[in-house]
Amino acid sequence: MSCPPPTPARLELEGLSWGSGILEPVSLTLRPGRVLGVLGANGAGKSTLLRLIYRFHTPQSGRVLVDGDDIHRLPARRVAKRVAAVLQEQPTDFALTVAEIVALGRAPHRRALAGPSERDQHIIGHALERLSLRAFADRPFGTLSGGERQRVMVARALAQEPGLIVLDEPTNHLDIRHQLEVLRLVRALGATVVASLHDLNLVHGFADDLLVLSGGRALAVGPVAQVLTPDLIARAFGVVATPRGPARFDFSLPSDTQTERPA
Amino acid sequence: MRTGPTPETAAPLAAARADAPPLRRSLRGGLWGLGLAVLVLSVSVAVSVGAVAIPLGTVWGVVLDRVAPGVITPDWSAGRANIVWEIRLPRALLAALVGAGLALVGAVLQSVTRNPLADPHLLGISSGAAFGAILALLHTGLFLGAVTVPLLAFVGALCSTLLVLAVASFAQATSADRLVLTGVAVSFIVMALANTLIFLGDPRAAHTVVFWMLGGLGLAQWGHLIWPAAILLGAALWFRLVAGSLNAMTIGDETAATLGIPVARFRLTCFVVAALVTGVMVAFSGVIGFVGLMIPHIVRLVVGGDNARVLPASMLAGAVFLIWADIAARTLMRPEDMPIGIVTGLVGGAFFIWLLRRRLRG
Repeated sequence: MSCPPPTPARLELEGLSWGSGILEPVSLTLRPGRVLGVLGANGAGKSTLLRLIYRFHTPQSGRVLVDGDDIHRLPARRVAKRVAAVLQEQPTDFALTVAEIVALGRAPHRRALAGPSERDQHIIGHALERLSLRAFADRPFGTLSGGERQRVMVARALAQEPGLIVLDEPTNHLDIRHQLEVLRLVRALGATVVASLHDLNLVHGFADDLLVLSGGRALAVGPVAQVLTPDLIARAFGVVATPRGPARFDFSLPSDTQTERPA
Repeated sequence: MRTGPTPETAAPLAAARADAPPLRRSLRGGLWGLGLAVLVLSVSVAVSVGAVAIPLGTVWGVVLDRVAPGVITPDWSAGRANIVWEIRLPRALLAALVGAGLALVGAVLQSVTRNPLADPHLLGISSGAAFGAILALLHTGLFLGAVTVPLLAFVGALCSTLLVLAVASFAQATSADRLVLTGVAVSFIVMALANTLIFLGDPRAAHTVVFWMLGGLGLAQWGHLIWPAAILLGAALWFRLVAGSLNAMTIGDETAATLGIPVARFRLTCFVVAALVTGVMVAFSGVIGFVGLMIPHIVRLVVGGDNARVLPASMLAGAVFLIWADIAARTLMRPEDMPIGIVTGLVGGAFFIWLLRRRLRG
């Protein structure tokens, strides 16, 4: 059975705000297939913005348009077919296997009473394959390492066949190799991506566009090269940024030409 | 870069799926068969054991004779037939229903609160049900006939459930462990109120009520079984339908919401159905603790975490466990009938300690 990749979605935020001052109105347009990094210090409003985009918070004002539809006016299930989220929540106490967690991504597509269809099985298998999780399919989630867990959560989102994937600090608690690996995998998924990041050094090579938040206000939006300047970093994080110092490294995966790790 | 599955990746995928599951499926089928056989055997032993020991052959003979009269010629006395059919079989079946119901509710509550320690007893639902039942038994009288006790037990269970949720949100005890602490706190308060009702009630009736509160299946009759059976069947079917959503709830509220689940409403509905089941079980059996905590954990070790399997397996295991707990309660201090809550409390408390120890290491 063929598995047509989902079409990446177009995301528009129109004067989006929340909770008197926690997030001041933000507007931006993200073209289909682009990767937006959301940067900011702790408490800058990154998570709040993301929650509005994955429809957990209702905006105080403004709209979130995915392919032109206001997601806060659509039923939750319809939105779930277009927008998936990879959050920091992880199930460790309930002995679900990797395949069972990835299968949850099919829930919004399934009608009540219907079991998993052949197409569901196919998409689940594809998502496992894509994130090199075939070998882990029957392992309980709780027995995996941090990097493997994060890949499972991305595979679960991928099984939703979303046009837009929202990731909340996907590199948190991962070592440097797994940080780079997860970001490369996410970038290769083909969906439009919005990801909050707290590490400035991970932005290059991952994000196309950047939104920098500080104290709930958007300091800058635009292509990474234009936005990420020492002056802006100083304003957003309150640190002095020197473009290059001694004893600093650039990190990349050893085989950047190879697109997927062998399973 | 986006690609569909290439033939190279698709082929081994299909092959791997083809040879793995059938084996597991037949193994699982075998486990279900074994479980049902153990259940039937447990009911039979429960009916056979007692002050008058009745051989298993006679037990099955009496049941067959009642279900399909005339198939076999009775070679037992009418008295024995009565013990089997009128006293011991309804009691064993009630034990099975209550065990299945409490284990089901425990498994559901653990998923929707994302807390492996959730249990109708610890969350205060059972105490609320006991309060309602005591109110009916000692104070209001059976003003609605036979349904008065289960109905008030349900209302009590529901009120204390809502109270726990309200207090939890008032005290901002949103984390899983703190929700259980809230349940324990509310449980203490509601139990104190229930004890006040007993204190104020008729002392002779109060003795019966205290005994009933410790948990007992001695009052089982055929006519009463219909309530727990009907409620349990309905609840089990509904929970089985939403097993996928229950799985999603174990990841987290926000992730479940992004999967299209109306999280707050779904959790509330689960709590109401759980209160309904707990209410009717408490009305007929008293307060039997720890079954709902213990059984789903043991079941998950065997069948994994998918609620599509955990829920029915918990019901089966809960039924078997409570039948044996009742056998123990009837035989350990013969000829006295020990309250079954004492048995489940001893086993469950030890289990709780083991669970804490295991969580510490895990």
